[in-house]
Amino acid sequence: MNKIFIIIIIYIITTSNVMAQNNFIDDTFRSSGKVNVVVAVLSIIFAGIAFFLFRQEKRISKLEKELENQKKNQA
Amino acid sequence: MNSFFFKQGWKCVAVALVMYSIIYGFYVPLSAEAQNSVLDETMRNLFFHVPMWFAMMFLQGFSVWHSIQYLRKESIESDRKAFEAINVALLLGVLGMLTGMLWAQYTWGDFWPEQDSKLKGVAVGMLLYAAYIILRNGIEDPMKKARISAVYNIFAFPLFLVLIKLIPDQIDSLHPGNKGNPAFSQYGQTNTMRLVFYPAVIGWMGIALWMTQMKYRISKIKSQLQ
Repeated sequence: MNKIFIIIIIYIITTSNVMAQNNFIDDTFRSSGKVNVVVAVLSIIFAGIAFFLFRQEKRISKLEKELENQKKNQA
Repeated sequence: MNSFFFKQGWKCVAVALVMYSIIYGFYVPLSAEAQNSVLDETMRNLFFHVPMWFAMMFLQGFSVWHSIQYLRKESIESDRKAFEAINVALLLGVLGMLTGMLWAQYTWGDFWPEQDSKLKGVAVGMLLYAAYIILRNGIEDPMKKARISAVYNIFAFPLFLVLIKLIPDQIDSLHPGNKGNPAFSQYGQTNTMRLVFYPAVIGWMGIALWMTQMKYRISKIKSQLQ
């Protein structure tokens, strides 16, 4: 839960800055609104990769603990 | 909460910062200079291509620090950290090079413009670090390997900086930020753009450090199993 909490707080701080100075419809790149789809796809991909990294790290921690337990049992 | 933040929270911060740069990198208004130049909307690559190099240099500095620690304390763990940091730094360098080549094709009309000395400098610099890895593979004795590669690493980093910064400053380079111009100010980087660029740099540095940490832990587990 803590992780999500921190991410949300950082989001609110950072986004409020940029949103205040944004013109969403000032040029052709964004006037159709389709760029939102690209941004959404990129964010999903990156969120997935980040999630994968967190999971992988938990597995590494587990392996480290198992190794330590094995060493204790041998001693 | 506090101990969690200092142990794991920085990874969440890094992920959040990169996520923020991915989203607002597409929405942030560009400066008029950038829009009227050959870059136009590709200026947004600033938030993705440039942080690769910053993160790479950050990891190289991190690696040099641990090489110095190794020479001081002779702890094999410092050597492991230094080596894994270089591995991840090389990955970031390759990514930076590929993205740079694509960007160069659309900006300067060539994947590898001949007149840009920065590209040659970076190519030589990457070979320098490839030689570091080959050097390590060539030495059997772990203590000897760690000592020699630590010294090599400490000398390689200043040389890398000379190759990518000082030499392109003296001769022609297409990259902005050379020949005395502060980076990208010739394209009128606005404060709003800085508000995306610097978080992106810090975020990618965090991700790079995280990758290094994971590689380090895996390599430690492997060595314990043997």
